[in-house]
Amino acid sequence: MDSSLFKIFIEYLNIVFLVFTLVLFAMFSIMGYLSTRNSIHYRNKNSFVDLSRIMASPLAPSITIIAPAYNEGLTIVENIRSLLSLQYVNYEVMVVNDGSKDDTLQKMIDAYDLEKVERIIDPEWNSKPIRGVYKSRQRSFSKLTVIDKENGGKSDALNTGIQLSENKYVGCIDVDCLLRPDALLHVVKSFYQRTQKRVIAVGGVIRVANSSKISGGTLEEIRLPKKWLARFQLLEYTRSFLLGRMAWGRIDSLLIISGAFGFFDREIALEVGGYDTKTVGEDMEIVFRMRRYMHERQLPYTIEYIPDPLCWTEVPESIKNLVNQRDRWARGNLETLFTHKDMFFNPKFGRLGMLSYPYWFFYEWLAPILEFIGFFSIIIFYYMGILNLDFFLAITMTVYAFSIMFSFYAILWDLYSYNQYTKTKDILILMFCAIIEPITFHPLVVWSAIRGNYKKLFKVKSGWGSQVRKGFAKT
Amino acid sequence: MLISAPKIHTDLLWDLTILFSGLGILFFAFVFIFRNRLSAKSLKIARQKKILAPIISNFLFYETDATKEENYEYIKLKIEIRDLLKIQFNRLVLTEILLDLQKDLSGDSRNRIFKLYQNLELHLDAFKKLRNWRWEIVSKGILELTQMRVLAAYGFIKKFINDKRGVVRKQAQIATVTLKHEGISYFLDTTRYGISEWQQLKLLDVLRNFEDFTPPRFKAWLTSKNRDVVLFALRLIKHYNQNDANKSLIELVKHKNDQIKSEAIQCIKDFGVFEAVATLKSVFRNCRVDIKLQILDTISSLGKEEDIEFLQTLVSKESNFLVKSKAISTINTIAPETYVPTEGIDKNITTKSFETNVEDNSTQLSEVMNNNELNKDDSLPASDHKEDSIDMQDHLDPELEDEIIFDLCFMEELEDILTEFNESEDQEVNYLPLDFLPMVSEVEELKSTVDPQTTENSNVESKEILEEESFKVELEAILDKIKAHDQDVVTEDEKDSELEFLPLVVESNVEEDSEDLIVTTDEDILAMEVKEEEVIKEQRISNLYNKFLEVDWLPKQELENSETIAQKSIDWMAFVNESEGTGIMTQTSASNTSTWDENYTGDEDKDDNPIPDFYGFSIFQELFRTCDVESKLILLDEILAVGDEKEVNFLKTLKDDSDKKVRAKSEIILKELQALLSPEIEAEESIAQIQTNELEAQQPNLDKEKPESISQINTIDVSTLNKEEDSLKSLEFCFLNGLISENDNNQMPQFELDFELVGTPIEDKEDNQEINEINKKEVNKKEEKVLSSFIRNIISFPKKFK
Repeated sequence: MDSSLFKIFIEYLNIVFLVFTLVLFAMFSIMGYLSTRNSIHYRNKNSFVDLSRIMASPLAPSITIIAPAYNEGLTIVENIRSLLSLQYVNYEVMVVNDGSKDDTLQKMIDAYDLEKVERIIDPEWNSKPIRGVYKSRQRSFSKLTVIDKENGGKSDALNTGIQLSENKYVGCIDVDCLLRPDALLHVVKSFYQRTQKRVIAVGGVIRVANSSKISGGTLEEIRLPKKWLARFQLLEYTRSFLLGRMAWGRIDSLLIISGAFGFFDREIALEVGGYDTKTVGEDMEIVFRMRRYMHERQLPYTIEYIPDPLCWTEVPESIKNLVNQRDRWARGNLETLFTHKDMFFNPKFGRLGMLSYPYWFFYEWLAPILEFIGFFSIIIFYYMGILNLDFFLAITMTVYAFSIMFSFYAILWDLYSYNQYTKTKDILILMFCAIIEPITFHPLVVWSAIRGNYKKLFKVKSGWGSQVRKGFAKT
Repeated sequence: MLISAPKIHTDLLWDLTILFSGLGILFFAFVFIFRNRLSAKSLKIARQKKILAPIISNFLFYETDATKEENYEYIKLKIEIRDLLKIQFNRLVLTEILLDLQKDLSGDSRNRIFKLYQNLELHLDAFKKLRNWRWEIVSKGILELTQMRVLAAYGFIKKFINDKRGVVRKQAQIATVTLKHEGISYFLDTTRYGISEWQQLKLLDVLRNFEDFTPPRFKAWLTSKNRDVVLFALRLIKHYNQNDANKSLIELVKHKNDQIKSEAIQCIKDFGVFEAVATLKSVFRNCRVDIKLQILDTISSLGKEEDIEFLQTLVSKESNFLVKSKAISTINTIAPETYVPTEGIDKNITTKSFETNVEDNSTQLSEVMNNNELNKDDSLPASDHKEDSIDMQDHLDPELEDEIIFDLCFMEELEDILTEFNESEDQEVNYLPLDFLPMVSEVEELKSTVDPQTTENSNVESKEILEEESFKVELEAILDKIKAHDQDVVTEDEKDSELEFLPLVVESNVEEDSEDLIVTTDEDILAMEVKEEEVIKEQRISNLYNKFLEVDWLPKQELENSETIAQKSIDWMAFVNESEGTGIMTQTSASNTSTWDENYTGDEDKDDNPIPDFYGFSIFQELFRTCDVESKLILLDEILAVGDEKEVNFLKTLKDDSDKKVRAKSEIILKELQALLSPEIEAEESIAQIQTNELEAQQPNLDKEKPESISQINTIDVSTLNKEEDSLKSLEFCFLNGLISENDNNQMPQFELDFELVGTPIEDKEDNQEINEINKKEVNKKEEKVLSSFIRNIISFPKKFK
């Protein structure tokens, strides 16, 4: 009796896995469709636009780009130069030195001829003390402002920047990111193109710049990364940004804007209190809070997503750095979902509560845990002799085929939309990555997520971790 | 078993595996198919561009004084491009090339592109796109017509201004504003949808790039029910500094919409609307923080001492740090040093009175007044602080300050004028810049007269004397320069008077208004040239013929063999092209009549009658020998466009052509050409009669006879033109009317009269304004007519290809 009950339990467990998998397939297929439609629409709509003519318009809004810097001495000067050469008139680059232990500040002072200036700071604003505000003596660097403050983490640095900025929009980027010269024009267009809804935030695609040729702060030649780990991440980013987020953007349910390239309506960002300094998933959390803020006040709003490759970044090339990064992402995910747990299947929040949040819960947070449990279950069941081998093989092959098919579609769509990698060899390598990714790279990602969740659930002290940058200038 | 789990059909999963694998393989294949297609397409386009681009540049940079060989090549290119345009792909590539080129070029070259685009009938493809059901195609069509400045499309496009498809609507709005200066008024009047900030940005960009644009008074739209129209109007008011809407601005400060409120406040600040301060204070409480800051900023510019009480209340009650800080800053701007630094000050050192000033808020106001009085009496110490520097300026002698500002502005203005003046020396000047005369001086000469060191160090009196003296010298020099320039211009104009005529346009009912000479502006002329090409083509034959008679390279002996005939045809075609390029088509008939008369007489002296020999030969004859059937059919269209009597003879010979299509078409063309030529012949006769009269006019007793003969000609002209399909008259006849009136009044030689028309005298400005007003009305009517004929062309367009 007991064994038959156990058998029934196992059979139901199989059904749960099957349903979970089929829903996943359905969701991904719908996402593929929505992203395709959105991409085509975006492409058609933007084929008429000559952005460059607008950059000096008297109606062009002011933007502050906030770039927190912590121990970035190796690349800071070059990175700032890149930020100062963007095609836009009305913008400010605000670098927040978050108590770096290296010579980041001194290098900036020397390179840009900085001097300390007075700036009124709201004493009620809750962030780590500011040691000084610096401006350049040279007019050519008048767009640059450097804030030197005590270390408080990325969120705290960004909050300081948001508070000190006087412009309408603020962009929060990673200082080591490389922006395309017309990036701000795209951002302004996204903020300004709506008439019925207020655009509270704009996010964009992050592309992998490892091994690409960069000179003088600009991307000269796009190349496929040489390291396999970076190649896998490139494929993952393509799938996630070009298909995933594009689809969520289509139904106005985007829940995350990448911390490497995110722009916000400063007024709303201040109203919600800026970034949460207690979470490592601050980029996702602020979007949750801004959405909640607008929803609760029943104000018409939207979040725009730009699929153009505007922001290029260096991804981790060592397993250790990658695991640290993904560990942090998993913790941030869990923290955010927990903070806003009242949104879970809450119709008050519309699509946000009924669709976005549950998806995030089941397929971004729960999926790796289920995968991990499933993997060990299979081994145990096999040794116990109760493994339904037919079902196991069938579902594994289906998931594997779907995974490859979806990655191929992402490659195809990337080629059709932006055609970044033109060499046949590069495309074949990416396709090969798609074939081996489920058995090589993906387990690593699952392991990182498990580690992150474990740390969070069992309160193992862990911070941001660190990634040693090679620096674009040296690639 | 009571409880049993449903059975999982693994076959279904295997089926799914096969499906996904199949899709995977399909995508794999698609990746390479797409890639190959993309690269093949771009290669094909690049290849075709390589072929077409040189042809286009030949067209664009074709010089009127080209050699005969070049002219022959040019004609061949024309035929070649016509052939190429039969293929849709070539049309697409060519359009792409022209669209790219117009972005890179400006001025005359750009206008040539616009003209070429329409001459090659590529705009008809864009018109076709407007009827497509797909929004992206319609938008593309609108964009193309806008970029290539197809003015005739204005009427079609403006219908899309309230289209429910967002992209189409926005594209149409841009087009409406771009194509015509009055488009902005039409757009603001009629738009029902919201105007996004991005759209406003783009529209303003269009307006900013207009040349000679007189913006309408945008206050008219401040009462619009469309919130975005009000917002955009406010921004335009600010941009164009239209400070005649103060009352409306003050009212808009009370608007519920924060953006409108913000823009209104900005305008109030920029225009210095002092009476708005009370309203600003009254709305302050219910505003957002950023608006509050903006209001305080405005009060700091416009506020007076009586506003300090309001600001003091804010300082004591306001909770927001930024607003509070701004209020203090505003108080300090109005009444400097009301608030002094408190942070980091050692209070043990401060004096009692100072402490009182800082700590006792209740007595602050009276102390502010005391401080102000003190400040007025004592000179302030130099300070780097912004507010202090403003204060310093307040304490400068207003007269001295005015003088300094005036000097600066004057010198800048002077430099600008002189730069413009020097630059325009080689260009045609249509009027004397007399309105700038009192401001004119020359910077370099001024510098040489006045030693900068001395100027800096000497006292004000000596500086004034020096400047006055130098000013006189400069002014005289400049006046001389202007006079000399004026003379040069006159001389140049006299030289060119035979060719440089304003293209004049009148309507067919000119007989009624024969006394009113209609002078169009350059822009109008350009616009009309584009739209009235067909009409002008009908009239240009006589002009070309007359002009051709002037050419002294005309052979004297009879042209017998075919080679000589072919050579002659090239000459003729070269001349035709030259005329097209230089706009000779738009010459007035008066000049033609005079030159025609002289040359004709001259030719008669030199040669018995060389013209009829050439006149009987058609240039198309040679071209027809080497053409295929398709090209022949295209050439037949060309014959209708430019042909005259000699083509009639040639067309008659085509009745025996081996191809059926050519035979049929030649008959149709022949009939149409004959119908077109009948009024031409009459017109030529009338012109010949003018020549006779002109010759007689040299005798003093002909004053009375002239009007009679001219009125006779007028009657002929109008009657002949009224018969034509299009109601527009040729430029020649228009000028003729002008000639008549001018000659009647002034008895001026013809070329002098021409100069008068080209360079509009300043004293006649008022008259010209009136004329222009009338002209605008006339042009509008004409445009409507042209549009209607254009619609007919569009409708009949597909028939051409059948």
